[in-house]
Amino acid sequence: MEGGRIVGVVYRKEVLETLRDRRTLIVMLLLPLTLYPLLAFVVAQWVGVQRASGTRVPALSLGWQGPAWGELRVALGAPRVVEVHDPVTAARALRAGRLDLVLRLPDDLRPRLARGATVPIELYRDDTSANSRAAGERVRRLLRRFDRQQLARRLAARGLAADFGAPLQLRQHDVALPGAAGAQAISGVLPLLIVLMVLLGAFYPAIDLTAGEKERGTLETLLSTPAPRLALIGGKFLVVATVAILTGLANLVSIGLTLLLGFGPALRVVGLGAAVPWSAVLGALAGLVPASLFFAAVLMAAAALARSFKEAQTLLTPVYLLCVLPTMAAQLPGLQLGYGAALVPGVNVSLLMRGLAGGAVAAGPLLVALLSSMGYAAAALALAARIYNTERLLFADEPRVGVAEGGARPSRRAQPTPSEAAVLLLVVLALMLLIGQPLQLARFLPGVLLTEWLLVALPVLVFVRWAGLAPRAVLSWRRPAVASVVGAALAGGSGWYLVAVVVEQLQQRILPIPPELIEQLRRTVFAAERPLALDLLALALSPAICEELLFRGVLLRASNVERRPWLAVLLNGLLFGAFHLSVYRFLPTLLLGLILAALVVRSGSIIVAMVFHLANNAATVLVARLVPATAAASAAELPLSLPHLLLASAVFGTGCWLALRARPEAAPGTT
Amino acid sequence: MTIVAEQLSKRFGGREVVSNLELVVRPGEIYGLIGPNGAGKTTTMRMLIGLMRPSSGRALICGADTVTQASRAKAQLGFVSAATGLYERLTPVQLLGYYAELYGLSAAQGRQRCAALVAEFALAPLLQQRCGRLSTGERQRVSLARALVHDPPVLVLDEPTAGLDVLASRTVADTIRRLRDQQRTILLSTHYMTEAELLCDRIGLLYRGRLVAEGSPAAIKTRYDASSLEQVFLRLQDQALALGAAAPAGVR
Repeated sequence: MEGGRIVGVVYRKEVLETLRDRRTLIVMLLLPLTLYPLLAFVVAQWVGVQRASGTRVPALSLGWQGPAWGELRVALGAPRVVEVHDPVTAARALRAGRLDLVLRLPDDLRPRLARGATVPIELYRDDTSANSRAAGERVRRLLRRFDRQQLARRLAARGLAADFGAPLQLRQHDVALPGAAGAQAISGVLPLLIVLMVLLGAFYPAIDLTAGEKERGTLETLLSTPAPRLALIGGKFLVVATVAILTGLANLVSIGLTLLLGFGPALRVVGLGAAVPWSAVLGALAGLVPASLFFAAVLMAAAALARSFKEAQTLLTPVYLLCVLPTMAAQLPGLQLGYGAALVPGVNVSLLMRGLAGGAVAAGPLLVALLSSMGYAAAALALAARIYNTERLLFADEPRVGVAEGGARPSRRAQPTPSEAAVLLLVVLALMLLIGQPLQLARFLPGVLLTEWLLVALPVLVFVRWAGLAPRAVLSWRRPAVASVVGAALAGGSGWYLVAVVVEQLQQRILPIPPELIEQLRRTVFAAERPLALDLLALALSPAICEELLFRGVLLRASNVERRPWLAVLLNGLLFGAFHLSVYRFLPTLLLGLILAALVVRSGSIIVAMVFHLANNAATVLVARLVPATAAASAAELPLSLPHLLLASAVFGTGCWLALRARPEAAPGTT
Repeated sequence: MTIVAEQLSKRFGGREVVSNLELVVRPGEIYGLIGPNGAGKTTTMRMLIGLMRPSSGRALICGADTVTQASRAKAQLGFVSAATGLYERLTPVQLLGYYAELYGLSAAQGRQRCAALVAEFALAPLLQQRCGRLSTGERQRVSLARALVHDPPVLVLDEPTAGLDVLASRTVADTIRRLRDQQRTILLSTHYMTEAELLCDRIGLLYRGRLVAEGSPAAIKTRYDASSLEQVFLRLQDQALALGAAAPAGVR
């Protein structure tokens, strides 16, 4: 009871304060109420201007190759004609924009016409130029008309009726009500628009009521009262959700009013009128509350992590984008609210709105979507409440853990923050996509070597130095037990076979690798003409060192491996799988990543993972050489043999047992 | 005894910020926790008012443990933070009303307390203004009124005169004395030695999380043969530095 009363007290106070905040009011009311009328006005004006200028046909600049045909030129509106002599010059002039189109006619034009044969006309255009595209469309239309005239003339010469050449006549009728097409278009984007606006509306209050309160120093006095923290968070959450709902409502109302009263008529004048898509509006209304509750809770949980307004803004921007992504995914055609989609946060509420707009949502998935989005909101809220119980995050002025006392130089950190690690991963990914992949396409082996050492390992080392991290501790660089190394070598050398025959054959059934890709791999990755040592260096040793430094070094350490080791291992495996940028390699690399991360967690040494990775990749390269054209490209083509499978399992099991047996000592350099 | 700290310690990671603090503050007494920046004053206060859990030891407010009986302990105290803790977009009356509700006062009780506090702290001219527009001195008056909205027997004030001019400081000091005379228990922190000397009945000198001296200002000065608390403080600091940050021997 007391908690409920406090929720009400906090809610009333926060609503009063929020309504006195100009920034919130602008986003919540002013922006939606002005945006859509303004947008409609601008569109109406623009279309009007375009229509007006569209009635003046721009002069066509036409290239002409072949004999003159005056009648055709007249049919085309007697454009300015430039003589061209060969297709190469013509193409150049088109690309340079000196000509809009080029027509090429055969030299034997007149004899063909005389005998009633077809005259082939070649039309050259540049589809990257709007002028050329428009000119092409116009000339094709005129040519079709001219063609019909020519046909009619030929038919008349043979005493046949003009419609002799047209046995069928198609007439089309659009029965859609006026404005329905526009309504359809609007209802398509309405869920996305509403979610974007709900997020925008919740963004600022979520920060103001959490991180803002920390920064202004009011949180301390608030928490010094006997009010339960969960009730305080609950009251604040309801305010953020209310603002989100009101923002969504204001947007819907503004869209409706714009279409009904304001600039709807103006749009209709220019032929763009749209009726109010009532079903979509109702759908959006129904989905508005669960969407607002969910997104408000997510934004609040994220903002509660921050110690200051500025930090919260930095933190919430990627969260905002992450929230938008599932909503955009829900726009994919063909995706409907089923039981699976109803469980995906963000996607469920967007699909719910879309489904309700179309009036086609089954009761089961609808209920699941509502319950799951409420469940996610509750989880996010529980997280926010937990953060409010975390002293380290509550008081901006308390010393951070691991920082040395007084004015002494801070000791080197043993753990990068998750955001630092995320930045490093994104930088490496960008380098790989922009430089690494083109390099590998141009020259495969040198490309791989350069990618591994310069685009993966080097950024890791630069990052460790730049962030002031203790290298040995961050990279788990320490001498492992001999048994761990032997075990890793055995498990790595045999594990590839298990992955090949079990995982990849399973994958072949679910998601078969296209034959072209297999062929490409055969040609590039496992080319027999290269020295074996070079292949081992580039494809086994380099990834074993460089990729391990990134994944089992910095990224594993950043994912709070000491407190939640198995969650860190799972995350590491997922990232490693995703990093290989191929849906076909995701499953095997995910498994590899999981094993490698588990090895480092258990042994405490990255060297064990490097040995496993080296043995695994080296075995694959060697088998490709020894058994050419089978395992070389797709291990899935290997024949399944029970003795081999048993032997590999035994060796792998023994290796894992040896490697995982050793327990880690205290992490080096942790302070 | 209304504020008690027993073997109170706080560690952040491996670093001890407050170490085995023993403290007793009685009704009708102003106790000043003094020390340089980073001495552990604010952390000590946060543990005493139940905002932070002690790593070891315990704190009691009017006999209620600040961790296990947090609501009871919090209901007995009023707290003023160094940042004053006012909501910029509320007027003083709205602020007082909000806290009255948070402390569980009925609407009638809340109105009655607000009227009394407006009179006591001469807030009438400020009632129509939002807190964000008040001067630092006015803000501090509103803050003190807010901390007293539920009429608590214990007051904890973190740097109550920080950033105030001489006149405003004197007003706040007079208010604190008046509250002491109402038999309230007052713990305040400050790094202004002269102010502590004039205002506090007893002081505790905190250095690197340890209470290195305690007693009335006069007694401490006599013990260290110093003319001011500032001199005592500098002497103790030299002593502590010579001993390598450990507590100076025999100063408690």
